[in-house]
Amino acid sequence: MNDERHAALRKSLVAAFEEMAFTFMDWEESPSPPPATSIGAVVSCSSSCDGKWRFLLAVSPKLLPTVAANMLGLPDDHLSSDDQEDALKELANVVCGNFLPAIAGRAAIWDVGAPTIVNPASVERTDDEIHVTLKLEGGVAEAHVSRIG
Amino acid sequence: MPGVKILIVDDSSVMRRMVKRTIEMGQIETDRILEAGDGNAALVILRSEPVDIALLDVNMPIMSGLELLETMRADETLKAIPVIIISTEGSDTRRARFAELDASFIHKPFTPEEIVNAIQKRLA
Repeated sequence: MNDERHAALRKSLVAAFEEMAFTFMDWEESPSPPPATSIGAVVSCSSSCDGKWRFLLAVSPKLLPTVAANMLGLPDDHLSSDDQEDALKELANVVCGNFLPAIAGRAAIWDVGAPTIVNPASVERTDDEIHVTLKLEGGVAEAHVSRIG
Repeated sequence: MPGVKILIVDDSSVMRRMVKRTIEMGQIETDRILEAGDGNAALVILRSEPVDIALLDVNMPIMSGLELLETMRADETLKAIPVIIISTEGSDTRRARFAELDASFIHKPFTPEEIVNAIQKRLA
């Protein structure tokens, strides 16, 4: 079950970055470790049959301006920090929304909360979380999904 | 399709701008593109200024896209306005409800062609 959810999370993450933000996978081998993520957006979701879940999308510092600029069709230097945060929240919303059917199928109705900006380090991780890291052109994106209730 | 007036309702300003840009770059001649950040704000606009078509997100604060759609369909002056839902909604039950209420559905992430084609189809 977790393998299927892992694959679904990866598919949702890749689709959102490629189709909304025109940011693609970086397949080049690099001797240096990937940069740490520094900003994230959390979405809380609940359904009557599958409880409460927390979804975190986090990105490395240099990735966010590029992603936001691509989404809006603007140069990086025309973006406010609000624009960048809003872009991350919308990406989190899309990745989360597309992943939810992998938890409970297409019959389930979910209540999805508004995304909020967080420091990824402040979000408590669980042993059984589903986790995907993508190395993208310009940085790293991570998605973490945990059942919290 | 000369000079249509379009309302975009989404709590994300980035998404509103993405949809607006898609419309502006498509082959749709617009009179005005109006924006609202939630269903309640959209209703205020709809009741003061007639629009030709409304594009709605679903998950929004204050009043969701589904609540707005239901309110529009129950309102004599708003019920004929074509509606397109733009959402990640994966529930078959909710999608069936959108169809019952005569709303088209576009799944996020969307392509520019999907938005433009759906608007042209609903306004044909």
